[in-house]
Amino acid sequence: MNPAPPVTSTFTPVFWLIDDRNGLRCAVSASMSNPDPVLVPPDHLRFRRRMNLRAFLKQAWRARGLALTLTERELRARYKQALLGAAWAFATPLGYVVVFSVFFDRAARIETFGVSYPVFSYAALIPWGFFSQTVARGALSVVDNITLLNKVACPRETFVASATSTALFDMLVSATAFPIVVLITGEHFYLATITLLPVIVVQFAFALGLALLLSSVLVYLRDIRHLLPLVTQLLMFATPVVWGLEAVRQRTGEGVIRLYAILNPMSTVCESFRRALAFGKAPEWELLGLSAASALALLAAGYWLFKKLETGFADVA
Amino acid sequence: MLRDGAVSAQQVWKRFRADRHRNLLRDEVARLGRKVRGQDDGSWRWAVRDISFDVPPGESMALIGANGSGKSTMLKMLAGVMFPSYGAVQVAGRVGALIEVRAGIHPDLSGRENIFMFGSLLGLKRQQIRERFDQIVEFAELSEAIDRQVKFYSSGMGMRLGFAVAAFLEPDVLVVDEVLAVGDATFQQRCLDRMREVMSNGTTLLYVSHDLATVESMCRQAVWLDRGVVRAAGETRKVIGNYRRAVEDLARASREARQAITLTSVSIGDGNGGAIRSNGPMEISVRVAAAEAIDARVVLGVSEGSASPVFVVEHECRAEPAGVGIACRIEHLPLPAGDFAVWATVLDGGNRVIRAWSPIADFSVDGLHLPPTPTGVVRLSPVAVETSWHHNP
Repeated sequence: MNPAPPVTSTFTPVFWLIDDRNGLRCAVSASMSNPDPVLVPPDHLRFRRRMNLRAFLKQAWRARGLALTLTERELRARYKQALLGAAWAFATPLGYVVVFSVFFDRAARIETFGVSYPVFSYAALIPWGFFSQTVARGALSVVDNITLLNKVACPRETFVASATSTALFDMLVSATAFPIVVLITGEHFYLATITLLPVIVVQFAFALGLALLLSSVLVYLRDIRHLLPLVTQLLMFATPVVWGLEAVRQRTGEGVIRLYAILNPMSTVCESFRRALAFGKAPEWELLGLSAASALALLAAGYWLFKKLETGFADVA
Repeated sequence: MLRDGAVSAQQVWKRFRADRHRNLLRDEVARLGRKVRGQDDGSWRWAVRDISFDVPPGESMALIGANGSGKSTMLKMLAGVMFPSYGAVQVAGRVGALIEVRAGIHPDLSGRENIFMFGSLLGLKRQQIRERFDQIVEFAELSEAIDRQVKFYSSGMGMRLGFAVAAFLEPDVLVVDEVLAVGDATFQQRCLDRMREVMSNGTTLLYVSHDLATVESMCRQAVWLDRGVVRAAGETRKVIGNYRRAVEDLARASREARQAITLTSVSIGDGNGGAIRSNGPMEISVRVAAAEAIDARVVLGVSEGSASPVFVVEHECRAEPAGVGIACRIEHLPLPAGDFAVWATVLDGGNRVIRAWSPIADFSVDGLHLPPTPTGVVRLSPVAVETSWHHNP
C-alpha cells in the first residue's frame, strides 16, 4: 500500500497586488513593498521636519481652545478635590512670607530700605511663585501627558502653554492676598503697579521658554525631574526674592547687575515687582530691556528645540 | 497639493529603539560614548518598511494584519501622532483620530466637562461642541449621568462618551483604531451606522480592526500588512480572502498531523480538463483514507477563503485504509469570477467530527463579474446546489 501523498496547497504566499477584475475603479493604489527589504532605507528619504515658524504658530493658535480647556480642566480637577479650593493659591505664598519674616528679617537682617519685610518679600514672591510653578508643572507637562500625546494629534506645546496659564492664574489669585498684607503692615498702595504689565510679559516669555526647553529634554532624560526641585529652590536664593537688589548694587557696581539681568531675567522681574508694589517706583527700563532680550532669546531657542524634539515624543512614550 | 480628505504615504519607514525601557541620563551617555567610538549600537527595530499608498477623498480603506504588523504605527503616523523615520506622510484637511477613546477622559471631571475637554482635544471649537451637545448626550445614552464624575461611570459609559464626541466630529479624514472592542453589540452597531453616515458625507475613513466582517462591511479597499511590509492591497473582499487563507495555511500544517482521517489527491476541474466557468460544470474529486474502515460523511464547502462557505455539499461513503475516491459534480456552478477555496470536514456515523473543518484546495473561476455592493451593504449568499456523486474504485 502506498502511503498517500500529503495534501499540497496551491496557495503561494508571495507578494502580490490584487488586480481589479470586477471593473471597480481601483481607488486605493498601493505599491508592493520590496519582498526582500533592504535593511536600511535610502538616505535621501530621511524624514526631516521643516522648521516653519509661521506654520507652527498658526497650528498653535488653532489649538488655543484646547489650551484653554486644558487649563480649565487642571484648575477644576485641582480645586474640586481640595477642601480649601482656590484658597490654596494664596495660602502658600502667605505661609512663605511668615517663614521668611521670622528667619530672614529677624535672623539675617535684610536691608529693606524702610519697608516692612512682609510687603518687601511678598511683592517679589508673587512673580517667583509663578515662575517656580511654571517650571515645575511646565517641565513635567509633556511627560505627564505622554499617554494622551500618543493618542491625540495636537501641537504639543499646548500642554506647556496650558501649564504656564495655570501658573498665571495662580499668580493672580495669590496677588489678591497682597492688599491684605499691605493693610496689616500699614504700608501704601501705589499707582506704579500698572507699569508691571510689560514686566509680566517678560516673566511669561522667560518662564515659557524655560518650560519648553526643559519639558522636551525631560521626555528623553527622565531623571532630570528629580533635579528640578533642588535647582528651583537654589535659584530662588540666587534671585532677589528674600533679599533686595539695591543692597547688592551698592557693593558690586552697575556692570555686574546688568550682566545678571541678562543671565537671570527673573532677578529684574522680581525686583521690578518690588519697586512697583512696595516702593511705588517704575521698573528700571534699561535692565528690563536687557532681561526682555535675554528672555525672548531663550523663548526662541526653547521653542526651536521643542519643535525639533517633538517628532520623537510619541516614540519614547 | 492634495484635495481635502486625501491621504498619501510615500515610502514610509519607521523604526523604534528596541531596548528603550527607560530614559536615563547614564544610558544616553553610554550610547553617546559608543557613537563617538564609532560602534553602531544596532538597537533599532523596523516597525514599518517601505510602505506607499494613496487614498483619494471619500474613500474607505482598512489596514489588516496580525498583531505587530505595523498597522497601529502606520495609523498613528497618518493621524499625526507619530512622525516617520524615512519617507513622507501627507493628509489633507482636518483629521479626526480615534486611537483610543478613553485616553482624553479625566476621571475627576463630570461627563459634561469631559465632552468639552475631549471635543477640544479632537479639534472641535467650543461653540461647535455646544451646538452638538444634546446630540452627543443622546447618542452616548447618558442623560442624567452627564453631571456625574466620570470615575463613577462604568467602562461602557466611558467608552460611549468618548465615541459619541468623536462621532460628531465630522472631519475630512476619520482615523479609527480598534476602538469598539468594549461596547455591547447594540452600541457597536450604532457606532458603525454613525461611521457610515459620516462617510456618506464624504469623509475619508482609515480603519484598523481585527474584526474582518466589520472591515468588509465598512471599507472598499484594504491593505494587508505583514511584519511591516505590504503583503497585498486592493479590494477588501480579495485582500481579506488572501489574508484568511494565509492564516489558515499556517494553522493547517499543525492540524493535519493529528487527523484520524485524511483527504488526499484533491483535484478540481470542469471534468473535461478545461477551465471552470460561472454556471458551467465543476468536479471536485478527493480520496478519503482512514486508519480503520469507518462510515464517513464528507462535507465539502466552497468559500471565498474564509471559514464561512458560500455553499456546502455532502456525501456518505465507507472510508478504508486503502482509501476511496469520491467525486462531486456540480452541473451549474453558482459562482462569479474570482478565487475560491474548498473546505472540508468528515463526520462519523454518530455525527462526531473526525476531521476538522479546514481548507483542502483552492481554485479560480472565470466568467461572470460580481457587481460591487455599495458601502455598508454586506453580501451574504445562501446558495443551494444540485449535485451528482459517483465513486471511483
